[in-house]
Amino acid sequence: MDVLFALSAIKESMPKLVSSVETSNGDVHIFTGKENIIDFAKFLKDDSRLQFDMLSDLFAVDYPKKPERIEVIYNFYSTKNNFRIFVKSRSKINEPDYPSLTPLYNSANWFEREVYDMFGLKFKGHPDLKRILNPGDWEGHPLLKDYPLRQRPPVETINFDTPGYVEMDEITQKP
Amino acid sequence: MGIEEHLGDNIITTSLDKLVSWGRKWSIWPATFGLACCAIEMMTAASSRYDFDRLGLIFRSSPRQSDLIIVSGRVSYKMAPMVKRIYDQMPNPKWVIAMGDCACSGGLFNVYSIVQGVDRIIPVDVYIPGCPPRPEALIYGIVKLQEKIAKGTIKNEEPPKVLK
Repeated sequence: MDVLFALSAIKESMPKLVSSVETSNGDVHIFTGKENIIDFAKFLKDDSRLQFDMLSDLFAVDYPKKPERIEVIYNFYSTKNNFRIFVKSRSKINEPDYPSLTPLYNSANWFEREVYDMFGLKFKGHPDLKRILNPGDWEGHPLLKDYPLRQRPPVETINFDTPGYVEMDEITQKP
Repeated sequence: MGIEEHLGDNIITTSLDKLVSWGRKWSIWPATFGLACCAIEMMTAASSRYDFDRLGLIFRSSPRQSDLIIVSGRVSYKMAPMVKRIYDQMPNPKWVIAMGDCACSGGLFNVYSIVQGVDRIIPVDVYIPGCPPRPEALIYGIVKLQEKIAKGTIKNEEPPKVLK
């Protein structure tokens, strides 16, 4: 059983959720809408033939010239069948709300925190969505292409006494 | 240190200067503290092939027992408060070595997350360029620091400060 079987099984069960498919170098990339991600992941995880029991990666890319700038890529892996599949979804920069996969896959917890830190996507349903790499009081999201190159805060503004401490309310209320 | 207040400027205090500086320069205890790949080179310098110990450099596991902090690697904005705190916890007199290009000036990490030189946070005595500097370069920097310490005086020195 290889990944093309998984692709046919997905197309068969959820023809409406698959908007397009690309294959390259033996990998399968499936495009879908971000509102379908949860259904998609549930199917991949629970289907007895596929058993994608591991979310091995989750990251985002910023394509500044495309109308739907932000692309989020989910990398599911099946340890039972030894194949992986990539699920991609695109969205506009002013629609940062995303469904969180943390209730399904524990590994999504820190991945989603990193994507929030670097791209500003808000994962609804995440238990503890705060910055993971940058200090908690950092401004902006550095991997967005419109983040100014080499912009650094003045050294005097570093919080030396309580480093990185931010009230949880501040994070959740920021636009 | 306090003694010179009672004795004033005379031949005893100048000789005491030499004695104290001699003692200090052969017992520089660095804090066990590393940030990045330069720290690997620093560990090599402490190992038997290069052997820091023969210069009296013995890594201490507490900043409160240390005289020297070797900033070995790039200092990110997230790490900067910790570097500053370790420096603040060290008792006077204390010295700082910026090891490697990143600690000296930010080096090739001219990016959003890296402080462009550790001297923007804490005062630096010796800069060692290199990416990373070889252990010989680090030992040369320490010899330079010893020369600086030998010229020092205990006069007008800040008393050891206890941080709560």
